[in-house]
Amino acid sequence: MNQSVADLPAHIHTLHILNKTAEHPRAAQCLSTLATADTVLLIENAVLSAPEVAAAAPCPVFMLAADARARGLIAKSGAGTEATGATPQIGYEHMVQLSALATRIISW
Amino acid sequence: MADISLQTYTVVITGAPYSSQAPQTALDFARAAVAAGHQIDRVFLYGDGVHIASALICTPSDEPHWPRLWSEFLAEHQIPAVACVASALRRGLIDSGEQQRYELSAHNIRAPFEIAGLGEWVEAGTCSKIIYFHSGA
Amino acid sequence: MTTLIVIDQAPYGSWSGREGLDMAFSLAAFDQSCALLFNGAGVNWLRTGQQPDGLGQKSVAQNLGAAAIFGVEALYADAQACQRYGLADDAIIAGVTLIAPDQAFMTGFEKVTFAG
Repeated sequence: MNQSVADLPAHIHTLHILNKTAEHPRAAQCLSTLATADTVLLIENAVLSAPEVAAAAPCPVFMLAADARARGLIAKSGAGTEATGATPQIGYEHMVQLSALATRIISW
Repeated sequence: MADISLQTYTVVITGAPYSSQAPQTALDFARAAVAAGHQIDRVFLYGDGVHIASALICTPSDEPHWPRLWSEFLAEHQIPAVACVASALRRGLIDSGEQQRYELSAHNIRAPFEIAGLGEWVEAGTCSKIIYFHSGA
Repeated sequence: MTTLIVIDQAPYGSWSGREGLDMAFSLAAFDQSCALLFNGAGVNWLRTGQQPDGLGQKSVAQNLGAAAIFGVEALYADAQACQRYGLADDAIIAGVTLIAPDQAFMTGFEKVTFAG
């Protein structure tokens, strides 16, 4: 989980922070507003929907490692398990970096 | 390489401790923000988030005590913290002023939280980047 | 430079809509540009003829009707959600614009905020 700043998008129009799983109506609403210049950060329960969100999103998707680990979604060599697919897991310090890079932050 | 400029954040928490992860995620974010050199100009508790300001919460000794952890963080970094008055009163989070005004038997706001109105939140929006931590329900 | 407050939960059974309205009216009271979006089950706040006194709650119909006077710049509602909840045009309070809350619509706001 060695996410360097170089791996984060250089500019983020909107950072979407989603903490609800995909079947929650607000998650669907979030997905319908994504643009290519945006970034999605999955936190808390939303990490469980990482494959679904990553497949639907036109922009980069990240998830909090602590939330993934808590729920048994353990990254193996940074590649993720079958449940998580390839969604990168990041620390809180990277969450801060994403929020600093974003022009706009929406917590869904 | 991304260019990250220093930010001033206002942290708003609307999820209650022990009913949601919001207080924990918010504290981990806040600690990381301060560690990276950013400023948090205030913490604003709204809706169910006001329970973080309770002086009467008890937890088993092996579980994090979110009100205490937040109080310690706020005191250490001298960050002002407000619980919204409308949300707080409805949920029985009372300071000494409101105790007198409503002739209640006690007050239970934990320092350094203070009770104030939504005007604090409006003002924060004019000068800070606000980040919200909601319940996941 | 407008803040969009989004209300997506139904009235009376949950409080986040009331808290969202408080946010919007506070912004307006401090002369900050704001608008309201009613989305999902939240569109039911906009139905005419609400009589919640039997629940011991107050109707917000008057507040919403006066939103423009208070300084809230616009009331928007998700057209699809209105259809789902059987809200025909004549069942919606006056002054509401039906829209699709898609990426193009949301981009127009400096901030998009939920009360909880």
